[in-house]
Amino acid sequence: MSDHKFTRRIFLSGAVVTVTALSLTGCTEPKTQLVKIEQAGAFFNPDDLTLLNDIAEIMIPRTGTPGAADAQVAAVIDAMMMTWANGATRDLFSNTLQKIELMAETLKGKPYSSLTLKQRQSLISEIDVRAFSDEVPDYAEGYKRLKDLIFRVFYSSEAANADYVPIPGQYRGNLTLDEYESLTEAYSYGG
Amino acid sequence: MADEFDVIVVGSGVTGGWAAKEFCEKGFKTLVLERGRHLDHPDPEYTDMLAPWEAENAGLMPESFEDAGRYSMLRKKGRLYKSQWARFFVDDKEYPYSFPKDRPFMWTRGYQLGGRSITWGRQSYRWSAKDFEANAKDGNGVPWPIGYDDLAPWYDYVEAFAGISGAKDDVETLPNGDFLKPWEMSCAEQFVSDNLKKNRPDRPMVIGRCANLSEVRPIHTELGRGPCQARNMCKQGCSFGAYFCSLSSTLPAAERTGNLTIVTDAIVTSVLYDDKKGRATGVSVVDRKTKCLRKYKAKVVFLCASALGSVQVMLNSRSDARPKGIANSSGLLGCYIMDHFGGAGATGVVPGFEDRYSFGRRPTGIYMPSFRHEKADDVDFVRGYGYQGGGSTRPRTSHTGKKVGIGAAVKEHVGKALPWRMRLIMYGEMLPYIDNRASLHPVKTDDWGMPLLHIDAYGRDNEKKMLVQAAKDAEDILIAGGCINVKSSHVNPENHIELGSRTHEMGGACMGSDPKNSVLNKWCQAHDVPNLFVTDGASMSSCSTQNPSLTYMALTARATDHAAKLLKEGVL
Ligand SMILES: Cc1cc2nc3c(=O)[nH]c(=O)nc-3n(C[C@H](O)[C@H](O)[C@H](O)COP(=O)(O)OP(=O)(O)OC[C@H]3O[C@@H](n4cnc5c(N)ncnc54)[C@H](O)[C@@H]3O)c2cc1C
Ligand code: SF4
Repeated sequence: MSDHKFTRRIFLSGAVVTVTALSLTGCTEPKTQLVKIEQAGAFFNPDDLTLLNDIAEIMIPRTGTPGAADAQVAAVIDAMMMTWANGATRDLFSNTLQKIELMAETLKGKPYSSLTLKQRQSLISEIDVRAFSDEVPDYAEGYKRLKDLIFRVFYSSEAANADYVPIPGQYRGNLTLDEYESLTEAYSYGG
Repeated sequence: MADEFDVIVVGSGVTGGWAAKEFCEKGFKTLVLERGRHLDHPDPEYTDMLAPWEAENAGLMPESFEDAGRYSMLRKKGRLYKSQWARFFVDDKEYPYSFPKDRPFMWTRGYQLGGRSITWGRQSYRWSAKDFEANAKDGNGVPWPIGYDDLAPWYDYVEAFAGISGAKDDVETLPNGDFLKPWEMSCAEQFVSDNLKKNRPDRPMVIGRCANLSEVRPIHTELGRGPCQARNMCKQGCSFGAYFCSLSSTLPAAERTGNLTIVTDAIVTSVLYDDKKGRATGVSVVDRKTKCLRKYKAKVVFLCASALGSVQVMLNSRSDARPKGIANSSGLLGCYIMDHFGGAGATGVVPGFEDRYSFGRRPTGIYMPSFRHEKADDVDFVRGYGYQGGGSTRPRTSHTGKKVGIGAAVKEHVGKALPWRMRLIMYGEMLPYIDNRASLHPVKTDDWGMPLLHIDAYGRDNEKKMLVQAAKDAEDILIAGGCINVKSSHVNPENHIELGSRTHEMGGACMGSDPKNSVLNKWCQAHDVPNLFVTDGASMSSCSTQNPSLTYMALTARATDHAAKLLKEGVL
């Protein structure tokens, strides 16, 4: 019975288990452009958060639109380690971050934090290609799951959904681009 | 001392809400017993006002649930296993049921005030004369004791109150009503529908009819229901009351009469029966929280606990004199379990319309009623299937979270408009098989001492043949509709055809004229027990292809009218 009660607690009073995501801030190292986070999260330590935040931003960088760091993806994932992940996933994600550190040494010959932004981008790109290749390196499962979660959290974030229309009030199925854009602007959060 | 009422209604979902409203409005003191927790309208549990980024765990369910084997069936249902609305579904670990290991049955329940009227898809279609004639025509199951004409005025009645949007379509097998204004088709859907009118007039595609208020009439506003805002958040509870749900519609209507008593956390375990009088006298209840036992008495009992829920209560209403349960002189209680089955469909690209876009989230798709009521030479099965689906929203490129690729270039590619697409998925009519059966588990009980329901029901030869043809037909339809790159698929028909994925379970206490081969008469009244009525899906003698809830509503309203007359005449 005890785990049934746990279900009810999660569902019926979300407040009990809500872990409010931190707002991550940090100082940017001038040489490497790495944002060093000094605060510990609910699960990750400052070094893990620094790495996670950087990887997420490399995957989904700020362009003309917000990126993963703007959307606080690392902070949301940190909170989800307490409210969503089981022990195996927590271990897997921690190990995956460690493996990425190791890959930095192996492939680029330096600790991750000493690499330039360009080198870090090239490192993560290489890891990404290998993870999805037939080679199936030992970090593939953890990397793929972490990447999936980073994208999921980013693309459901407020930053990524500036044109989300909470209450459209109507459905229209045959609009010109102009008509569509003016309706979206009028009804979206941004409008 | 047992509390005493005119009528006891077991369950507060789609059908229980209707029974409560009708009896209360006719002046009867009515008790609704609901096994789940209380909810208000709107309720703090509603999540419809949350933006996507406010959803708990980005919509994911905690992994510990899976580790503990919780919600195993809901997880299998995929799209329903989300943090925004899982609270409105039952965890089968908490409330287990049973099935043969190699023949799983997916029983999707909602135990709370309002039942599944919160989470249903609200697709609302009248059945046609052909549906009620099917059993008599091909000799499967028990012939229906009623026809379309018996239900037509009741369809009118329930549609007006619930508020069903739809177009007046010229389709014999999909009778019209006095609908609220239809939702608009997208340009792609209109294109395919128009092409079908020209190329396959026997296979019409119409806009889906649904119980969401596309406009409001006084009958709705007087209960505080507002117009639908095209958000498609309905499974999260609708704070606008724009959806038809017991919480927003029937229960408030019952409540305002002053005749309604609702008791939640009250699990009805059996119907009480007086062997001498041959009548039901009330029900036994076990309190969900305290596990204390109670009895309630009434002149009439309406079982509205959902098809399988009502069958479970009836089977468990046993005594030495009635070892097989109440109202079961025919021995057919629990037989003829049915559901619509899926597993086949097609998708295609709609050419053109590259400069057209959609706005809003329409709470319905398109509908294609069955076009195979008459057995045709090209197939070797009886009955048919309809399709739902559509293409309401212009698709966009998605992200690469599950694929190779990162960085600015990949990001810039996300969210670009793609060509319009159409999708059709089948809703097959399965035959009523006498040995597709629900029974009580001989030894296993739940935490409240109720024997588990054991469900052994599956699709057979006729359904296997349909699956293959339904994929072919879906492909032909999209091609005739002008689509390109059409791809159809069906599951391997040789695998177990699992029922329950469409959540339209029916049968178990079928209606019929002959007490020897049916459980209920044409008023959903037990042949053996005149003051016991079952008006949910259990009463259905066949399953048609149309979503059934509107028909349950009409049957419930018609049965309450009949029972009320008998009560007033002093017969009950
Ligand atoms: C995701 C989803 C989509 C659906 N889409 C559609 C659709 O588009 N169109 C359509 O027609 N149908 C649809 N359905 C099916 C529809 O929900 C059901 O047909 C309808 O809710 C049945 O009404 P009911 O009153 O029989 O049962 P329910 O609405 O399930 O209500 C039964 C109530 O009885 C209570 N109960 C059960 N056992 C007991 C007991 N022993 N004692 C006390 N109370 C009890 C339950 O807690 C529940 O509140 C859908 C269902 C789901 C889950
Ligand atoms: S789509 Fe309409 S009915 Fe559904 S939740 Fe939104 S407003 Fe309510």
